Amino acid sequence: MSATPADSVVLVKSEKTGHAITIDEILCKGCTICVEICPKDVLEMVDAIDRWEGATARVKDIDACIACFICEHECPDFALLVYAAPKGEESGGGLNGEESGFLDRQ
Amino acid sequence: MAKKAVFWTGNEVAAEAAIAAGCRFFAGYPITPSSEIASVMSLRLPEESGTFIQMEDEIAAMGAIIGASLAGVKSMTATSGPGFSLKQENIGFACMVEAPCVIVNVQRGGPSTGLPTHPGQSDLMQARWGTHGDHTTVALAPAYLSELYFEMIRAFNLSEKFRVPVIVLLDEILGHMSECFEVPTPKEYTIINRVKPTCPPEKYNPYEVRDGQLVPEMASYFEGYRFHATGLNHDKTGFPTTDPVVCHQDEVRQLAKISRNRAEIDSWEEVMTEDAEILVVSFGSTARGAHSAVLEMRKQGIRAGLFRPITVWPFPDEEVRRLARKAKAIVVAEMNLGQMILEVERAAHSDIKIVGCQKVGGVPVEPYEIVAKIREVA
Amino acid sequence: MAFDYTPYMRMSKLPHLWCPGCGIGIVVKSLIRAIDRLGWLKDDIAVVSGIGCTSRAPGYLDMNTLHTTHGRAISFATGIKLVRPDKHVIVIAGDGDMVAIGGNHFIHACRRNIDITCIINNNNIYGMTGGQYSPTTPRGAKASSAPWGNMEPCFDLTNLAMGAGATYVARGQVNNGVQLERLIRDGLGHHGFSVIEVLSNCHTQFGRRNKLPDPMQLIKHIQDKTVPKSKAEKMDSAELAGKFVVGELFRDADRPEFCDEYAKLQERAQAATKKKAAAPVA
Repeated sequence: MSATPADSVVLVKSEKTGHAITIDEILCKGCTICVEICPKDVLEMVDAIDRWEGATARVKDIDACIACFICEHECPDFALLVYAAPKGEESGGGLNGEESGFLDRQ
Repeated sequence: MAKKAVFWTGNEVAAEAAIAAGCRFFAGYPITPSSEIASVMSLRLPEESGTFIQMEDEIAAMGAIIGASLAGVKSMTATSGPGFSLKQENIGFACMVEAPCVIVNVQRGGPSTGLPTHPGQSDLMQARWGTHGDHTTVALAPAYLSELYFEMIRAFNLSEKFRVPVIVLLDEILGHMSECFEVPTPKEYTIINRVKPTCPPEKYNPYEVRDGQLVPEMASYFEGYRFHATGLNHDKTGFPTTDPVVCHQDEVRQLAKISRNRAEIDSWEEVMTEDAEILVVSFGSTARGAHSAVLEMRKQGIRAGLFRPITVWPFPDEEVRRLARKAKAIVVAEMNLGQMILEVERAAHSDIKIVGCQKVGGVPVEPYEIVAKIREVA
Repeated sequence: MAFDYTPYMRMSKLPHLWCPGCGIGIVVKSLIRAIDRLGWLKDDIAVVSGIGCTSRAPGYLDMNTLHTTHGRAISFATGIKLVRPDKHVIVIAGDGDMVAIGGNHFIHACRRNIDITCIINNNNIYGMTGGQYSPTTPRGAKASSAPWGNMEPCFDLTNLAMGAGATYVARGQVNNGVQLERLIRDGLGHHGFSVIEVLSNCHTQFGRRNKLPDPMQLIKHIQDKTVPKSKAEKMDSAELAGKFVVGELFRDADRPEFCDEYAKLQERAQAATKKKAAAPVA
């Protein structure tokens, strides 16, 4: 249920850890907070002439991601989501937001 | 049901009638000469499972009643001149979000602190124009306490039906005087409630009108409609817009809610106007004296008549124009330095002689003064 | 698994109008996560704001939302809560809105201890109107209405709230979303007037005029001036000078809540009326 066309959402998943990050490049305003605040240097800012501010955040090194969620919490634009691999599994695992159980509670 | 005879002050009448109309939320602030309305509401509302709160200031009181209204409850506040000035921004907000609510202004001498314990009628123009921007309000000015009872109910009905703040203009005389009358039974009046949407929430637009209607259906908060209300110009979805066409049309519709429903909103009294040469125009408590003056003049062979607007906003232009055509002169009697007279001059649309019988200083315009003015122009 | 913000949002309204890097989006997301953890239903929540950048937040939330006049959100929220005490009422607004023009309503809501949660996005500036100084702008800082430097002292919002009687007072910061979510969640769950001040960043208006034009520069500056409560308790006043203590600062679960007290008043009134009606006429 994104506000933007599905093809603007870029998903990158680590085969090693199972963690994944999606970035909605239309919602991303290129503020650089996620890039600068990530403790593991997972993200980078890239030029993107057709995006807001002419830049968007992109995953640089997904394998370094420890799913601390700081980038997701600090993204003001609802552009970035972190999918943590379920504990006990190195890779695979659900990426679907419905697995959080939220929808069952409504 | 046996009718109950009472000897109440106007402020008590206003409070009891509001409860009869279904008001179950009052927020106010102490201000002479309206405070008794709050006192009665503070006593009576909890008895009726309603809520009373004395807010920290007049502005907060106005905000609270709008919040309560959007949450589905008929609500009201009461004040006088200085408080009425403070409330103006939020009155405009009520206009913009189309929240039904009633504001009683028990007028006193003004401007500023003025004469807190004395009557005045100098908030008339403010009742129409007090807040900024193009907006419309409805204002009622009863002159008798039994009439006030019905006018309070009518105020709530109009505010619910047209989703507009309605101002009831009293003054210190009406607020503090006592009259004997029989409390109307529910059979003698109807209660009108806001029209709620029947469509499912996904289809609901809080400011949408269809089929030539002018008043949008009004959902309440917490009923599944999860709508947005804002004082910013907005479109039918309730969300802000700066589209000039949409903004223009929405504001036109807000004004049209009132201007195209005059038959339901207008109300007045005519006394011996059929052959009146001298028309006296007056409202509220001053009209009581004007009525006496007219009767006195008739006794002395002068064909005077009284036109008493009860709905003062929108102003009954057409009636004044009609009567101005037949009359020789108009005397406008009011406790201010010339406010209703401006509307009369505008509405009369002719060269007819119009003079004011105006007095401020906190004492009523007396019949002999109106008589003297009538003689001047007769 | 991931958190899904979309059920709580009016997604078609995104991207929102706040500047790139503005802290308000961080606060709104923390609020959403807090609401989700509590299991509250959207239909049961009203979100009320005043005027300013922060006050645009309710428009993006798929709840019962109300965007009122400048400074007056709490008074509208009070009306809503009094007639529907069974529902959740949240106020979200900025520092200027809440404690300058809205100051009177703020302190009286604290005094009443009415069960409303008040989130103050404190970015030390009037952002939307072009960077004027607010009651929380530090002395000496530059602003569009203080080109020679702000000469006024500033409020400590949490002290103000506590002094006025709020029964849950916390301070969070935009650079710690986990803590902020918890503080908001505890404030929402607290039965009484809850105030959560969030130290937030307006780099566009405040930061740019005060040598902190980038979001992260300003966020680091915020981080540097904060001290966790556990650490602050061991510091003396000299060490604490210029610092802001973050965390849950005050909680009193015992003070009576306003709507509860009014319900008791209603019962008393109705019992007395019944008694009077039943009494034999003299």
